[in-house]
Amino acid sequence: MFGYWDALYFLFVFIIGLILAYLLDRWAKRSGMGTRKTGPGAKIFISGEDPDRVIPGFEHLEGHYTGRNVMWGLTYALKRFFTVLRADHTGLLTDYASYLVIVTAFVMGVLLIWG
Amino acid sequence: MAMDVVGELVYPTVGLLGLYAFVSLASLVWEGVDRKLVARMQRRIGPPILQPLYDFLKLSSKETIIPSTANFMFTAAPGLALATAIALLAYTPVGFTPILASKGDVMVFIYLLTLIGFFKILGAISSGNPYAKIGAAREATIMVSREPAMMLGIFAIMWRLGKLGVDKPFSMGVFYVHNIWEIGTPMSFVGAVILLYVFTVWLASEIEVGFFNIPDAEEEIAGGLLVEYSGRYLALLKLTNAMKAFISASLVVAIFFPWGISGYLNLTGLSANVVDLLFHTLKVFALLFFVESVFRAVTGRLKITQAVDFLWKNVFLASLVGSLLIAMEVIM
Repeated sequence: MFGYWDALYFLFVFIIGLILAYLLDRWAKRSGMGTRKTGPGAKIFISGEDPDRVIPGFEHLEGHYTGRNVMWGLTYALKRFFTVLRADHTGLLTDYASYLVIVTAFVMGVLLIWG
Repeated sequence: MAMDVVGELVYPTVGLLGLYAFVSLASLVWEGVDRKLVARMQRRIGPPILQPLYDFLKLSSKETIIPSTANFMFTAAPGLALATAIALLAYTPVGFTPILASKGDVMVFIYLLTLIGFFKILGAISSGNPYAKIGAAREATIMVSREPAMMLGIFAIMWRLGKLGVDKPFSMGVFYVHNIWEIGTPMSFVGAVILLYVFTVWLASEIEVGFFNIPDAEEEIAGGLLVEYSGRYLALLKLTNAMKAFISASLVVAIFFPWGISGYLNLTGLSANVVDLLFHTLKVFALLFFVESVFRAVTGRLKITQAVDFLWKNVFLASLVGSLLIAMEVIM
């Protein structure tokens, strides 16, 4: 009663959509003035990003969408979480064994109550 | 068991093609009407009403530039987004029960609606442009803020309408069997009015006008998601956006103003569907006049943090209250 989905019909209408979009695209490609991929016109528009410019310190990052800002944001937002995680990784075998014991005890407790 | 090929495949296909032809034209015409109306509000003359159609044809005939930094998804995303919008038409209530209402429920509708935004984001971040990246981040942020309020509201409404006696409560055709005003208690009426507010704001944020013109802020980040797109890809994306506005508005119209006129004219079959579709289009235009034209003429863009705050602390809370009011006498 709640929720239903016929995947074959979904695929069917999606393929119809793909065919229509493809036909439209092909028509536009034929009636249009072509596609340009190289030359100075194909540089990134506005925004100050220049693919040819070398940024000191970032030469090792290939490509122009390297995601370095996103990665910085992610690590910055989760800094406290990472600090806790990093503190837990002490490298001492006794610590890891105690984690194992604690998790086992927790699972046994859950099984005892609901099992 | 032999399948009824004509009834199961041919009719839906023909219906979908016809609906696509109609909606793509009607949504582009609406965009022209909207631009004209906003221009008159600002004491400008404004473009011709068919300007978006001319734009589409002109963009198709222009040279398409693909940035040297773009990868494959940049070129694939516009087609995929348009294909998603076309597939979505089969699940959209447009004055009558959707073509494939018995083959997919409200989850499919929501899934496809958000998939359009997902493909736009994918295309934008594949272009290599920092502005497009900012636009994509904003689009993703606003998407996860606006959809929960809508989803909570629509699930509550459908579940409540199911209690009035429908065999498939989460079918998109349920709004044409019972509607939200039929629940009848005073509290449910108040809840329905609150949910109307929620869905109006959701619609404005879905088509990204006024307050919510954040992901493709033209004056600020040069078009955001669309900054690198040109030529035929931009044409496809503009068509997708126009269709998405029509489809989102169709959902709100179907929930709150589902009444058709074919019953009064004693029509049945195909002619009834055509008349209802035309009347539905009129209602969509009327709704979009308030939510798109007036709203974008009188408000300015919020910051992304303000928009997220507003969508969670105001709209989502209103959705929660409205849903509880609607569901109250069943729960208690």
